[in-house]
Formats: sequence, structure tokens, C-alpha cells
Amino acid sequence: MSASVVTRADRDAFVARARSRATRRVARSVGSATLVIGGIFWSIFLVVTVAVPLIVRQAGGVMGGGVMTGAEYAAPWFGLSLGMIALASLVVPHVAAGGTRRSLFVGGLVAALVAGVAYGAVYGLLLLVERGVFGALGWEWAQLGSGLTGGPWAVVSAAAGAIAVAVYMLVGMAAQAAYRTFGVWQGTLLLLPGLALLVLVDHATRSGAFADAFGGLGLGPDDLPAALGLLQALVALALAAGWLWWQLRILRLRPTR
Amino acid sequence: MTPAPFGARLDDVVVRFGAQRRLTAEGSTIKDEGGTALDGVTLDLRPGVITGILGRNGAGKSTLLSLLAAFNRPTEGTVRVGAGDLLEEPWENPWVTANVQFVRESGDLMDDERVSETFKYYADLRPYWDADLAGRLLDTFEIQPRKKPTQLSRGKRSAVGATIGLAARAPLTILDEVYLGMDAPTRYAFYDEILADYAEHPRTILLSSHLVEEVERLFEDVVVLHRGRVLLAEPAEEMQSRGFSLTGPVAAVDELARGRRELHRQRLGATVQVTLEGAPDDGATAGARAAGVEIGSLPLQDLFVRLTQDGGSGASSTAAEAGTSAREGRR
Repeated sequence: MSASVVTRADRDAFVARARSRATRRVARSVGSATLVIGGIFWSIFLVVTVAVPLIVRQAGGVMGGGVMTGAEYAAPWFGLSLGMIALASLVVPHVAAGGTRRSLFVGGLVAALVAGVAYGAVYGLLLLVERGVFGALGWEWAQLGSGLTGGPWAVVSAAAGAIAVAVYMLVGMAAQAAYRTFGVWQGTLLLLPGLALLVLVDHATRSGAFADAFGGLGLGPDDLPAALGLLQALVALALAAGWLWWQLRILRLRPTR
Repeated sequence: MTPAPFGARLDDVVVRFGAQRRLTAEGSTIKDEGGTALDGVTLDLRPGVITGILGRNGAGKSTLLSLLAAFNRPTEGTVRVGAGDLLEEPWENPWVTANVQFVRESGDLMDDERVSETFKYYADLRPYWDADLAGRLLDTFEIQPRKKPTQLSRGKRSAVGATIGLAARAPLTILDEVYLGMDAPTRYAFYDEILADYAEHPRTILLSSHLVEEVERLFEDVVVLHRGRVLLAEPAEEMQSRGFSLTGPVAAVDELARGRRELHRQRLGATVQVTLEGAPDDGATAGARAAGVEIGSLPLQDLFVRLTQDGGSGASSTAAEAGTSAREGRR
């Protein structure tokens, strides 16, 4: 951009660079924080996954099920918390630094997808580790992970976990944005659509707390073909992304004094 | 490359807020009252000058400034910001948002991160960020970048915001009462830095402040807001020609002031300073000289107080004329 004359081409090139810079920065900020904190989360699970069976064995006991079942429930909620914290921390500095809500959305979406894939991959890997540990100890290992049938179970579980974490993270960001835009009462009310998305993805992947809670209500078969379940989970992911975008595109930052 | 300074134009802008209870970072809730923050504002902001945005608490200053940086959008009317012929709506427009730096008193920092991390974020997004200037200003204001904002006093936090405002080198830099909490030496250091950097890197600066006496020397243009409306918008010189002050013995000053509209009076013993509306004529000038009365320029503060007094008398004919000519006067 020159000081004298700004052409339409200058302007358009400037806009493209600004968008790219802002989006990449959000993805990096949210993604790196999520991966670093997630690294700690999964490291603890790795230690526990190996150590607990060995301790139980040392005491002469036998485990009826693995500890990775805890990760299946905890990881998505961990993602939801991180989504809320990340948006709360970033939204005002981002807009103040010249970023748009769109770059915040795209960057947040990319970070959620990256975090989901990373969490899902580690989750699938740790399921295999736990099965190996149980096998080495001569114990029977009850298959955990997604209740989806067909396909390699570890990969399906990893994919289901990845989508679930991404959805939870996006819903967490949307909840934070809703509180900012609408205040305490309406923001709380707007948790309900987000909650519906969490139920949807849990139900689609046949995993997580809501799958357990709604499993007995006869809302669908206990097991579901993997392709169909993952497709439904992807629909939930798209809806969560749309929900976040709707919340961000109307976000107004009121004067605070 | 030096970016061209940005200007702005607002047409019949109305901003209404609904009442809302919001969560604070500490976990408590605060009720924000609803109402009309801006009520039909029409205004041109010239590019390449320092404009003072004045008004009492709740006049709509922060709301007006937040529109220019896309923190907010108008309920009615249009806002356009840009350089030359490329005036565009700021909302979700990187051409505007990346060229406008709006700094609020809070500084809009990442509370859980070190100041240096917030600066890295701004450096990555701001196309004209000057890291050397940012570092020098932090030294000037005696701020350790390793500290988190929550560990800083209110004044230091404001100084961090001021540093961001200057180091961003945005073609439109908006400083919304960033001096709050700063002690006097820091404020004056900040004013000096604004002038020095503005001289070296010309741009448009909007500065809102309550401390009119302290900052009036910076202003080339002045906008006075009152209850969501523009009372006055014109070059500071023109504004100062709306009145003058007389300082001297009470009797002599009273004699010279007779028949004129008095904006302000301040007495100290046998000496009085009176601020009057209008310009001194030749007779008054000669009379003042003969009576040992000093004629001075109009203190902006006095006019500001007069214009924004409650009860209607503040909205004098001066303001009424200025309000209607706000648009024309800027072209």
C-alpha cells in the first residue's frame, strides 16, 4: 500500500494477506495450546494405562476393564473446556489486533479439527497399548471405544473420538461467544442447542456420556455400522461449525465501562 | 512503505443496546444498562490529523469509536472508514480492521499470558507493527514484558495499551481514554510520544479524554459529544476563536466583560479570569491593554464544560450552530 494512491488491487491484496495472517495466528494459538495441554492429559493416561494394570497384577488382582474408558468420557469434555477458555482468552485481543470474526472462526475450526485428529489418533493408539498390556498379563480385555461396528475397531474408535472432540471444542467456543453476546440469562439458554449437538455426536458414535444416558431410551440400535455412524457424526460436526459461526458473526463487543 | 492516513464518515448513526447481565473474568456478574448510546450521529473525521473526542461520561464516545474498529455495528445508519475513495464499512472488513487500531483503557490484553505474548499476537496481525518502538516504550513506561497483565497496576496496564496503540502504526489510531490510571509523568511522557511518533509517521489519531486541559494542545480537530449527539465538530483553531479569556483586576475585567456571554469565571483574590463567548473587538483589546488586563485564548475545557452542562443552557447557540454544520465544516 502506498501513501499516495491506494488502488483496488492494493486493497484486495492487503485484505488477502490480512485474512491469511489472522486465520493462521488463531489456528496456531488455539491449536498449540490445545496440543500442549492435551499432551499432558494423554501422558497421564499413558502412564495410568500401563501402570495401573501392573500395580493390580503386583497385588495379585485382575482387572475387569481398562482405564481407557475414562479417556473416552473425559477427552471430549476436556476439549469443550479448552474451547471455552481459548475463545475467552482470544476474542477481544483478536478483534483489537484487527482480526475479523471470520478469521477467528476459521482459525478456531482448523484448531478444533487438528486437535480432534491428534486426540483421536492418541486415543486409538492407547487403546491398542492397553489391549497389549492386558494380553501380556493374560487378562481378557473388554473392547472399549466406539460402539460402531465394522471396519478396524481401533481406527473407527479413533475417528469417532476425533470427531467427538472437535464437536465438543466447537460447542465450547460457541457457548463462550453466546455468553459474550447475549449475557448470562440468554447465554445459558443458548447452551441447550449446543447440548443437543453433544447428544447428537455421542449418539452417532455410540460413545461418551450422552450415548450411555440416552442408550436405554430406544433412540436407535445399540450398534451401528461404522460408516453410517461416522457420517452422522460428521453432520454433527458441520452443525457445530455452523453454530459457532452464527455465534461469532453477530458478536458485538460492548463498551465495558 | 507509509500507509495513507484513514478518515471516517458516519451518517445518521444510531446505536442501541439492550440491558444485559454479563459475566466478569472474576466470575461475578455486572448489569449493563440498555439504552440509546448514539442518536443520529452524522460526522466526518478528517484523515491525517489528531482529533479530540470529548464528552462527559455516557456521552457515547466509546460507542462511536468502537464502531470505527468493528467492535460493534450501528443499529441504524452507516459508518465508512478508509483512505481516499476507498471508504468502506468496517464490520468484518479486513481492509478496515487491519488498518484501524482501537485501544481501550483495559488495553485488550491476554490476561493469562505475559505482555510479551500479547505483543507477539499484535505483531503477527498488525501489518505496520514496530517492535523496536514497542520495546522502547515499555522501557519508558517501566513495564516488564515478562509480567502478566493481572500483575500490573491499572496505570501500567493502560501504558501497555498506549504502547500497542503507538507501535501498531495503524493509519487510524484510536486511543479511548487510555491515560486512565497513569500518573502525571507517565501521561506527559505518553503525550510527548504521541506527538513525536505522529510527526515522524503521519496518520489519523482519535483521542478521547476527560483531561481536556492536558490534551488540548494535541488536537487539530475537536468533536464534542453529548447524550449520543454531536454538539460540535470543527478544527481546534476555529473552536478557540469562539471565545477568549480576560485576566486581571476584578473591576477592569467586569467592565470589559459587560454585555458579553460569560462561559466561565475563576477568581483568586483581587484577580479574576473570565472566559467570554465571541472575539474581542479593537476597542476591547485597546481597553484591556490600558487597564492591565491580559487577553488570552479560549480554554477548550471552559467551552466543553459550558456545552455539556445539564439543564439545557450548555447547549448554547454556539453548539446548535456547530451541530448543524458539523458535516460541512469538515469538508
